[in-house]
Amino acid sequence: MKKWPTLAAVAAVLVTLVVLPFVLRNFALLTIARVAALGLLAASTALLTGTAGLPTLGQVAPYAVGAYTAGHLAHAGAVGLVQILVAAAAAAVFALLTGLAVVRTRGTVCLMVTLAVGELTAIAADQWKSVTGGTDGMARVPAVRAFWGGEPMLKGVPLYVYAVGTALVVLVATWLMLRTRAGALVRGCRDNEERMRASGHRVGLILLLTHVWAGAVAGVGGALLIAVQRYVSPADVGFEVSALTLLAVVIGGAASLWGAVAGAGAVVAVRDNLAPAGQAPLLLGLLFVAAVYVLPRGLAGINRRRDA
Amino acid sequence: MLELRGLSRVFGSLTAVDGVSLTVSSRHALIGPNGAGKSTLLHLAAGNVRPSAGRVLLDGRDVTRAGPGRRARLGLGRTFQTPALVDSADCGTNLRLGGRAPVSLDDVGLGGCERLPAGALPHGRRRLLEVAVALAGAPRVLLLDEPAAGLGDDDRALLLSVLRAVEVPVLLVEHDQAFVRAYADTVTVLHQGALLASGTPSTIAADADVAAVYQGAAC
Repeated sequence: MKKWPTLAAVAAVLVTLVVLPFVLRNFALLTIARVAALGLLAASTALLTGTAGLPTLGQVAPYAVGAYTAGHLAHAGAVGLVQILVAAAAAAVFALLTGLAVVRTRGTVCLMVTLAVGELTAIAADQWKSVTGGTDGMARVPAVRAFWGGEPMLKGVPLYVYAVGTALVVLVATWLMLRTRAGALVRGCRDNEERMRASGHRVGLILLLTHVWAGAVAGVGGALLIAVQRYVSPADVGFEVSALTLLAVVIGGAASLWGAVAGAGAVVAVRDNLAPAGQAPLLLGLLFVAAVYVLPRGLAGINRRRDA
Repeated sequence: MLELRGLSRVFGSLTAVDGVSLTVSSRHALIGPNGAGKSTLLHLAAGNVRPSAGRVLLDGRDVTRAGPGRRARLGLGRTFQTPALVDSADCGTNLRLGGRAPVSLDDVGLGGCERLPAGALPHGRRRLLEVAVALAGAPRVLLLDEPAAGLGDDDRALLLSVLRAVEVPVLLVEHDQAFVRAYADTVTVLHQGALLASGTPSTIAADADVAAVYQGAAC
């Protein structure tokens, strides 16, 4: 990958993100804020599926834990920063517990186990009314204040800044982690477990820690979701969201955090803006088929193909 | 030092390894016809396969119940019959993932390949890189599964010089008899899972039983 075109693309994206609040209306900004939340969920899925080699349909589970945790904290009057940190911690603990089972599996079995984790979490969200509000969802969530003494965020601009800013911090932290020796260890476990074990690396522990990190990322996504929507229900953390997330990862490129976020943007744009009423599933299906044929390595593969 | 004591491995009705005992304290080669149980014995030594009976001792410590990762952390390095590398990572990263011992890519003739993905290397170079990765782990005992297979003359000579510089005990499974004679000071012959003979390369070459086993066998 050439350095200057990449830096130019990054600069262009950052400038665009800065300019957008000045040119877009409230609804569009809130949509982008929702993309930031779903983008973190997609990035956590990409981290597990593409980078660690653990295909997952279950990242909605820590996403849900993060969302409901942040919702309760919002009701208790906690500021956004606390909501994000505690949601990340709660989702990480959840991912630690479920990860003990997940990291022992590979391939299709891993997909099935994570699907079960996601579905069981959605069922819990549906039935544990005292905690989640059941099928009615958790409603009337107070508007979030980013920091102590800040104003409650009700409009598009502050929520856009809050969600996109938080997502960028989390994504950059994850990206930097993957560029260290820790990232090389994770990719090593994906590519050749036998070699990693023969070199004395604790493959199970490395994958478990990756699962925990991915859970925390998804948890932050959940906290952003409730900050933007001020509402969460089982429908926000169900199988449909898992499938859309996996679609976003396929579109973006399985091993690319940024590609996954771009894929989430494409999915939301098609579902909420481009598709005629009732035709969103059909259009998303066509998008999936087109992505598989035209971009087998996702949006992230375009740069590499150009370099080849 | 690696000690294998009465190791057996049964797969259903097939006894792949049958009560084999040997001590690896220097340059030890394990030979035998195809299907003799050499690779299974190496897997048993490395912990990739659990024995049906017998024990494995590494520097006097019983590691029979330890998995491959634990044995590696205790000092057992190895290579595989098909080179096992992190293909998406470059050669330098592969070496660093192997460990922190002062081994360089130059040592195995791969100088200048630091940024080249391991998956882009030809077969012979992959074998040499894997040997370097195993040595980077500073092993106390090294297990090598057919390291010379598929190597050209130059790479073979380079591998031989690299292995001759290794100061820890080595257990080498190899079909290439010339390579075995050039490298090993002890040779053990397996036949149908059992130990047939053991001795210096010259005594094994003169052994009538070994000759009979190899007669007509593709090895």
